[in-house]
Amino acid sequence: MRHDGGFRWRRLALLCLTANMTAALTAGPVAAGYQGSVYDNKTAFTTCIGVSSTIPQQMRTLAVNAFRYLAYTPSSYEATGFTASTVLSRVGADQAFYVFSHGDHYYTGWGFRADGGVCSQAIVTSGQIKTKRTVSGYVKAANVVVASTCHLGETASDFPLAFGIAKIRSTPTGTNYQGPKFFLGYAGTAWTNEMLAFETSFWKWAMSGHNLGEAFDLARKYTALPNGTLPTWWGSYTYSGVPFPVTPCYTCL
Amino acid sequence: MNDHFPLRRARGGRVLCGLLVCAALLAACTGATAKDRGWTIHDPQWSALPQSTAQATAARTRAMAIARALGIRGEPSAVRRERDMMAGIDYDLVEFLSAAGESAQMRLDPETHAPISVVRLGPPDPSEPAVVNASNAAGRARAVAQSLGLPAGAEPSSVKWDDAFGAWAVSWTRSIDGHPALGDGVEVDLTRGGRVKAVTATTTPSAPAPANPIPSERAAELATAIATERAWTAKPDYARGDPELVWVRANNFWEPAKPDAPEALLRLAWSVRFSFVAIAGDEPHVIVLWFSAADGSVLGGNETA
Repeated sequence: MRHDGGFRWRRLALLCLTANMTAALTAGPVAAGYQGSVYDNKTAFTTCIGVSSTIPQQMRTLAVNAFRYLAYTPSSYEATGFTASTVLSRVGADQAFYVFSHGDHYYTGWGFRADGGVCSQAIVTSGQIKTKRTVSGYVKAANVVVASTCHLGETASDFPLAFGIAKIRSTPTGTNYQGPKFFLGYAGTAWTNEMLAFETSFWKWAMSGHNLGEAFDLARKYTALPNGTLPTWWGSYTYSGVPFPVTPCYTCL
Repeated sequence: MNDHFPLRRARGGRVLCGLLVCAALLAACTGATAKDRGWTIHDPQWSALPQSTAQATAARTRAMAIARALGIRGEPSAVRRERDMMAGIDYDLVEFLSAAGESAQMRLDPETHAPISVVRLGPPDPSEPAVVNASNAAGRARAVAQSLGLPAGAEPSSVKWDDAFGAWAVSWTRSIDGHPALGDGVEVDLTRGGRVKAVTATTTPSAPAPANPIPSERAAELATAIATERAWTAKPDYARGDPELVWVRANNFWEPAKPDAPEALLRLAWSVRFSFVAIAGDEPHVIVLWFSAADGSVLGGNETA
């Protein structure tokens, strides 16, 4: 198997070493159980359109496995378990967050549809999320946020800011390093099969000793996206994705 | 030699039989195994393939020549022959890692050693002046493609700045008998400074075009029948596009029980686009279905998120 090879293990070892050193320097003992939440809108992509797609569950499983690998403690929700109230009751404490759903700039703001097991789905907005994550004039930052939806990765979207991730990209050399933060999303209309292929590849690279920026670049070029699905990211290219205490975002409000 | 240990052999046989019975019972209880389904997204994405020393040497030599041509620094790793299970391609992989922290992955065709992909990771040269722009990206990308022996015509299909990838993406979609092959073609990605960040060349084998393809009208009938049966026609703002011929790799969009990897061969299909409002207040949901040009069966498709 290829990623047992030399470069890969050296990278993995380096990442682990860096992770341990940073944790030791910044936070003393790492707190047990960095909360992760994973949501997939099964109903919108099956019942509401008369299709028996398994893509929502596949996306959820991929994200749960990746969050677990990265050392978060993920809980996952779909159908009647994925409601706006569930999201909002948990999101204040999420260090890792994943949603596969419809996303857009709705009349209430940027956000996504919550499943709820119905086709008249509630919208969860970035404003609601930001409210839950705002503490004393700053936004509590998350480590890894994935909006597997249309539109929420667009330049105008304030969705990353709701999780304390400024829309800045650090370089592979570390210039503009944003701390242990990474937002992955899509600009414009995204197509589910292409998102599944891209995210399958992204998570596999991320779990093969590459940092999240490299995982993005590799998945981007090794995945055919003929319909124009456009993945995008914000945060720190060199971040491995493992949980770290995060500097709050004072510019995200 | 085993005859000296008849008891052990008999016990071994009984244990083996027991294990087989257990495995059979387990399979019966759980239904189809993962292998029955073919590759799934939860299986390893890459698998190793055998390769001779001579093949590895040839691939390494070619990789070093490509690296020189593209300005990739560093020493090449040992060559590994692999299969990308999701993409359905075999390739020889060579990685480069420089002392400056730059790395690159190169996939070469195992037979011809033509580049399938080159992806460069790591820091760009900060002193590079911005020299590539919308007006000259195509010409520069074409020169790169042609220097690697890749087909790149006068007019690319697309020239776009990809902000997240940090490069101008110049692509040439492959066409077979005048119809686009979805996902196939050549793409060259150039940084603003003119550095080649990635090159991909995808040429999926294709099944023969059907001798008597079903007509467009038949594809439209089949599409309308599905739209009616699934009640899409009753949804607000329902619309159906005209069928268009494209080459596709059949996928499991319409039949989730099929393997997660698309089929290895391109097939000619009528692509039909449906749109309708599925959730009040949302933009129209778009579903694309591919109807086999040979027999009208649904080969797969896609939908918007």
